[in-house]
Amino acid sequence: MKTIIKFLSVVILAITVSGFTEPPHQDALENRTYVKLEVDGLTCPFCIYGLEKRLKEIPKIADIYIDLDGGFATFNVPSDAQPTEDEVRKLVKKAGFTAKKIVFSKEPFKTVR
Amino acid sequence: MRTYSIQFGRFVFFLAAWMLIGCNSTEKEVYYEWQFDKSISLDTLGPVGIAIVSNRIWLADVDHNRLVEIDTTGVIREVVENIGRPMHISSYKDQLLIPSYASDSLSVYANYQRTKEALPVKPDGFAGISKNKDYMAVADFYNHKVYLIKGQQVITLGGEGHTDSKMYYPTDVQIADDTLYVADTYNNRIQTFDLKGNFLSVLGQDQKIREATGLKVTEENIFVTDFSGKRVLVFDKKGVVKQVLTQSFDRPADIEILGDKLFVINYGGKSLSIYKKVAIEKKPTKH
Repeated sequence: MKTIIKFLSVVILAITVSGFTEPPHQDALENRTYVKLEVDGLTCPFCIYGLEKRLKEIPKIADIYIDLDGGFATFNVPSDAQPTEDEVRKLVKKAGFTAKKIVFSKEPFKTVR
Repeated sequence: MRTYSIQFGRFVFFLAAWMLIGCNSTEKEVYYEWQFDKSISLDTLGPVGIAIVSNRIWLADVDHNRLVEIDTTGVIREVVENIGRPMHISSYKDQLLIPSYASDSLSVYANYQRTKEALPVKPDGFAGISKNKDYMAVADFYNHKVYLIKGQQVITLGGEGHTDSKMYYPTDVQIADDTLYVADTYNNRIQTFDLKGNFLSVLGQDQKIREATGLKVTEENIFVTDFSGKRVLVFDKKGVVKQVLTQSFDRPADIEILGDKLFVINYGGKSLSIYKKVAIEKKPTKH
């Protein structure tokens, strides 16, 4: 009986430890796609946050940054959920703007916030 | 005959004297204008809206999803967090009305309590709000509409377009004197409607406004912020420009008035421009 309890304890401990030690987000962090888009017509905060609102329709999107003066936006997504260029263009159009250049990268873009 | 001549001479003399005195009248005519007072730095904020409740100045800090109350030196006195992109806030009695642009919902802040309030409409880009005893007006940015709400009854105004009564990305509203004023932002103008929804007039279309983002209506005037134009236009109720304020603005977004002070929030400059109302004596008129 004691042997069984010891065995079960070891199994439970092993499962628990493996659960905790596995980095849950490591995969996601390493496999992200960074997107930068140049947008025509960004003028006011209603524009910026309208674009933000539309971009949030992209599943699992993170770190949306929109530069009013620079006229561009950056964000990142898990690589396996990366939107197509056409999908991004449609969302920008839905926000009332025209996307010019769209760049997909494995490296984060440098932005001064 | 001579008597008549004397009488005529006296008449001419008195007429000339009256004209001379009348035309050099020393009656002082007084009018008011706004003079720049000072600017206050708000460099930790990204402010787009301003409202005054019980003499307290509230700002919609849209960049940080919060409201802040500041004193007249810019010191933050209170913060209300977690509001999804608050835009053109307004006041009704002791309530602060907060439109959330991110969630398209309305919340009310009063007595240190924030509550959500149901809306009978579903805006897409809830940009501005105004309320009086009977009516509420909602600016719907992406649908190019303004809703005039009385209880559950809704009058829909606007729709995308550039002609009278149509709108193009409205961002602010105010109900005053049985009139609804709309900042028809990207049509570069202000439109007015009666409270039955009938179109009344257009203001500012000849003023080359870049974006008419914010407005404030008082008993005598209509104040309009021209965002990229970096100025504030002061109209009388007939739509005549009485003054154009230009000093110390960097993308002004909204306006409020408290007593004899005018407060203009600068989104670009992250600052608050303060003007004061001063009486100007017109010189005696000479004809």
